[in-house]
Amino acid sequence: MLASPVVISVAVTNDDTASEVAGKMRNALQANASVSYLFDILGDDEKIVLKSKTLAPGGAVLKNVPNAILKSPFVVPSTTQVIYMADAFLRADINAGCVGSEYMSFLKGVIEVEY
Amino acid sequence: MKQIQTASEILTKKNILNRISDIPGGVSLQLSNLVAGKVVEEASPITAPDSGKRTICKQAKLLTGSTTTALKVLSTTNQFKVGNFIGKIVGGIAATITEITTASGIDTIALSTAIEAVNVGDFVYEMSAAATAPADTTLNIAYANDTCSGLTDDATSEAIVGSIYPTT
Repeated sequence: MLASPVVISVAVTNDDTASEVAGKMRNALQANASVSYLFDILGDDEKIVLKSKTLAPGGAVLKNVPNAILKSPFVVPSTTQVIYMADAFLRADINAGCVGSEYMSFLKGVIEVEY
Repeated sequence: MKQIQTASEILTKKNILNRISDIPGGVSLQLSNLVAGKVVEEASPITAPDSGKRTICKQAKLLTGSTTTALKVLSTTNQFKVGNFIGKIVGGIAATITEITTASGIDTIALSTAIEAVNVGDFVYEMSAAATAPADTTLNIAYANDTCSGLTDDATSEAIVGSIYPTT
């Protein structure tokens, strides 16, 4: 996600004041996704302040992405059985609230019905 | 081909109201990631086949008393195991399950780190391991010795080179 190193060029003119140069640098830093992802760009006049953001250790992804639903419930066998045969539906109407929204977004043929 | 017997083994909530299209011949579910003796509910999401086998997509609905580090869910119908990663939001925090204790039919799932704010009725899902923190980045602030009239040379205004890390 982040480029390394981050190199940003800012165009200035001969008659720019220090405040104007700093303002252009702040804008350029703010416009850079790699920098603004990690920092709040602050500062007044000729000051440029980069304040580190508190980032959550995010980026979670579903371990398994669904494409169908199970027809019937079952008890997980306690034997050494490794495969369980079952019926499943690709498209169906289901009771609203029995499948989480993160999974529902992948189940295009499954429709929630208020019952 | 082996005929599939589809009689339900256990009485659970009716979740499927209307079937529209089934998978001819049924599916093969792998059991190794499930908890023996627990119930997989009707309408549980399952993956597309991988080498002919499908996997149950684990989920659970949160009950009263859940916190961001201790989730309370029905014991009989959740398939989470110690060591699984669990989270509430895709793109959010995935925590490791460190312990599961059962009392009065409710599992309390202890997490390695706090997840996002939880409410009764929210779903939690099995996640992959949390993404690693963003890579170390070198931030160089440097400028050429130009002739802007508003600038003056300052010996302390040299290039700043450093490593920055996100606060976790």
